[in-house]
Amino acid sequence: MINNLTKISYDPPHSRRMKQSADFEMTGSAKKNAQKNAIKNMMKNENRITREPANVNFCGLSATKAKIPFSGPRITKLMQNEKFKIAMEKVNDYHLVAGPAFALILTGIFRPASIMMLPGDKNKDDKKYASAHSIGSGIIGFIISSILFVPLGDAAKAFSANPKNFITKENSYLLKNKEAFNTAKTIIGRLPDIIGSVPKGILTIALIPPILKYVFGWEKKKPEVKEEPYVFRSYSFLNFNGLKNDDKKIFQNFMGGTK
Amino acid sequence: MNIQRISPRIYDSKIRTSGNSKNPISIKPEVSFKGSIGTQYKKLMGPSITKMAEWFGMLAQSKAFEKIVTWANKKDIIKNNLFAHLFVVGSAVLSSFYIGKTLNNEKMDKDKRRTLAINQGATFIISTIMGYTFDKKMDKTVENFIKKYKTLNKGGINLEKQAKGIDIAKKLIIFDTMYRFIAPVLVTPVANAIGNYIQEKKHPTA
Repeated sequence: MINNLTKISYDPPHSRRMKQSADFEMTGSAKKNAQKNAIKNMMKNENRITREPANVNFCGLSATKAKIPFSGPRITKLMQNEKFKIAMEKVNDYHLVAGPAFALILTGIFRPASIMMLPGDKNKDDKKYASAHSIGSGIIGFIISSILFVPLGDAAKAFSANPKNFITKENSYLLKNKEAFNTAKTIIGRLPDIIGSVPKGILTIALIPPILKYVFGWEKKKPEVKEEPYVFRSYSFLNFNGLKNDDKKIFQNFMGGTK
Repeated sequence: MNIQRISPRIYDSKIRTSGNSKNPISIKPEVSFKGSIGTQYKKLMGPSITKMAEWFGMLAQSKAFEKIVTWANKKDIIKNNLFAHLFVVGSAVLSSFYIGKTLNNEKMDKDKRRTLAINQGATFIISTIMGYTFDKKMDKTVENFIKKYKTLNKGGINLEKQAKGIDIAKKLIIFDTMYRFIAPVLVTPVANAIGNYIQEKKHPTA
């Protein structure tokens, strides 16, 4: 019985009205078209999201449903993913390497793609060189950071995990104040990046040309200088009359033109 | 007879053999390349890591460092966004190095050097402002994300660490995108065009 009841299809009142009016007034193809239109309208109306009526609420707060952020199934799955959790832990411990790793994605994929796609005055070879330069700088930055900063990240991790082992003074402000310790931890964590940025820049500048040459096979071409055909020029117009050995003004004022 | 593969993580010297006690079958363990590097790295770098941690301890206890920490803790603007400020300081040091290099480049004439250096400085300032703006705009969203993350993984190990990692990842993504992508692709060409226009106005050619 219940199953039979559920099977009964429900016709929305407005579509029923449309059907009835079409039956009454029109015949033949016009009637068919009207019916089609009526069904289309009905479908549209069914898909339309209507605003929920505001319920009466006596507690002073709005009763309308607030949109809960990050409640989608994909995000929930991501949040519960073990790899994501490990990745976030690693980002926290090795942010000195995580930054260049993300920069590598930008300089290795997105920047070259946009350099090649964006319109500009540069010719294609220049664009290719700029792209290779971007990839090279990203790779060098990542490699240097990985070599230099992974041990430093480990040291910072060891320091923050067991501060008592590395703080010799018993009355140190770091042991008394937790907030101060957290600030010190953050500064120590980023300090290698601040100190190492200049050597990193020097190494990047020095290593980019050989990497471009031997890895990418790219060498920036010097602009070709066109050889001008030899033209005989007469220099008889140059006037050196009245030149004296001690007269320096003549040379100071000499601009190369005629007098 | 099933010969089970031993995963490198649970590899133990005790379970090198399988089968009956009378007919043991030796199983070649899958040696993880990553694991071997990890152990080698720990062997090699262990003492130097400890030494570096000791240096960090000494540095943190110094008077100058203590002054910096107390000054940073007094000001909420610095304390609340310390990671981003330190990231910007690192970029500022690198940018000033490049600006210095441009100013001392003898291959260019003096005027062009100055214009290029001003462009580099302007690019850095614009990227920094954009970075801070986006960072602040994303604050609420990431805060909600972390809240949801904490409720979903309640009682998990290292939950605080992971939550902090999410916040750091957000800052790294925003500032890296600004300095490494937006600045060279969008800001520098505009700054160069403005510089060239000023240069041409000063010294008109033709």
